Amino acid sequence: MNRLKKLAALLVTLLFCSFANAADFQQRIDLEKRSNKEGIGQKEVTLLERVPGPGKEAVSKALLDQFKKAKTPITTAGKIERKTRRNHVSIVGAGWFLDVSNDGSGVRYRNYGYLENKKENGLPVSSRLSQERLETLGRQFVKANLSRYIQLDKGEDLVPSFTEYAIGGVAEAKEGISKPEEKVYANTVVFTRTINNVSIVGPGSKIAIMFDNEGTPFGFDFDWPKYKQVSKIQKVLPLEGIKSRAKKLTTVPLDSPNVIVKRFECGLFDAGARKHNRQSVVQSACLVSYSEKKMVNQKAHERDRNSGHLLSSHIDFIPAGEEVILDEKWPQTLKLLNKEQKRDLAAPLAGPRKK
Amino acid sequence: MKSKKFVKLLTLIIIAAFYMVAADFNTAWAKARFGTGCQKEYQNGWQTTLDYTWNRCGWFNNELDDTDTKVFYYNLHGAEWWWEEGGDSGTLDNVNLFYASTHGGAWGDISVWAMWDQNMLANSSQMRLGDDSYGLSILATYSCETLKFNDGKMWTRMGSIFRGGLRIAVGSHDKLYDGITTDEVGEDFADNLQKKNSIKWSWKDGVSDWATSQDATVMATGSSAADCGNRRDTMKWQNYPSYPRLRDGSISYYCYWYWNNL
Repeated sequence: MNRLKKLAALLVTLLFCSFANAADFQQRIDLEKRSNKEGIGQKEVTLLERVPGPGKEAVSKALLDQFKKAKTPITTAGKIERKTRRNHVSIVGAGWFLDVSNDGSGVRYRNYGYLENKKENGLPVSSRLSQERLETLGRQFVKANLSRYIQLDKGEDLVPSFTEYAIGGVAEAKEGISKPEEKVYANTVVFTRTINNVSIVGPGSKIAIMFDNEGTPFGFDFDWPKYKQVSKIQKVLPLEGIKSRAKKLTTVPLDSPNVIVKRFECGLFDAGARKHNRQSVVQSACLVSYSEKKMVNQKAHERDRNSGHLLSSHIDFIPAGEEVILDEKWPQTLKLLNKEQKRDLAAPLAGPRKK
Repeated sequence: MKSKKFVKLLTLIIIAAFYMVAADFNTAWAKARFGTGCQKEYQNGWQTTLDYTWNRCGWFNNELDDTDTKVFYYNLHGAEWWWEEGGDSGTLDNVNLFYASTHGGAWGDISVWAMWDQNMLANSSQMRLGDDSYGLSILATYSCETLKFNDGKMWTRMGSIFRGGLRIAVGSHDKLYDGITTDEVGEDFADNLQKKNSIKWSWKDGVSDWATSQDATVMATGSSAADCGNRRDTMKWQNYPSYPRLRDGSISYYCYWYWNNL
């Protein structure tokens, strides 16, 4: 009986054991390990409030002024077009654009015009910028250009999370197996924030800097609010409690056959400038992303083991607090607190019928 | 007298030609046509519900129809026939851009998209896009795997679709996630297209949020390797008609672009 229990425990552990990517920095690998071993890793956390930024007008004006005379590809020079969207303002120049979220804490800048003109500089994938170099370049860029926006309070740290590369491939259009030639064209480093060693999970507290192969920046994103401590402590469930809650909340039960957990990361969940609910708080949660391979054509699979399936991928944020704070934009808190789910946009109608 | 008649005729021809060019220009550049096909839940639960699909597709529509014409928005009930050759002239080939959100898969020789009906799949080998009606130019599917390339069989799977003259496809070589942080990816894609970004970067920036490991992929064709790269990298929502359609034997190369966590 004990053996069976041990086996069951091992299976549950394996189900939650996700895979780190080669692109992950050690800090993310450690987060993944800690999450799989301890959950949040603390018995309680201080709830946070995402302080609204100075607003889209102030931030877009400041950034436009800052980079107007820049001699680098991060430039805002020239004629601009401005458009107000549902949740941000968008400013478009010659080859570049700047988006600023309504509250001013989320920014995206790209100069694709610059990058596309440098396409001849594609490199073999093995010659891509290393993680170490990208971290150094990224930190330098933040310090030199974004220090006004990327500020750290006491107990907060800026930590590297992962790298990502833009790769192009080309091959002859012939049936059968081809061997495309691939080159890398752009390199991205992504940072996140920890507060007293607890990571922020979700789109909030992220910085991404994009570089060409020579290490010249051509784009950046940041979603970087100031957090204010709410005078309330949230007790956190132990790992087993979080797992048991996840069983009720994930779209697909994680112990279903053919489910592979890709990420399991616990910390404080910040949905980001566009999604965060200003009426709620930043509270403890675990991000779980996973995919399920469902066999839909057994005959095709028997002929070729790489055939016959459909793949579905999901990302869910599991609240980890003993007492969960309601967030009306966060379906899992609504479900846990037995509140009515927010309604979707209208479903489409059926298409034409075959005659 | 004869010369007067000739001048009149010439004037008429010039006016007619002007209107024809202007009409084409209008169709092509000023206001394009798009259609959307999405599915949230599936018959008898044969596939897992994609909870955020209606918002993903609804917001895509709401954004793009600010500037362009939404021709249809359908669910995927019994939809295989209108995705595939023979039924696409009133749907996928009746628009310039088709956006879809459903489950997908890359098999040995075909890519497949899940329809609502149990066990019904749209099959890439039965699809040929770009050769009927308006002719589809841009195929955008928020589905897993359908643009898989790492087994060297991307052309085998997608060639049939492109042979009709489709200009570009965007999707995924592996995983695209369904969740609260990815329900706005359709709206962002549309917004980026309107900003005159390339279709390639519009897709990437649309699906990416740095919290989710999204595997975005873009695919195009060309008469040479350089032509393919150029089409893949510079085609925009505002200029795609200026890239000649490549069909059947005029396609010599395929190319792709992806973003990977290496």
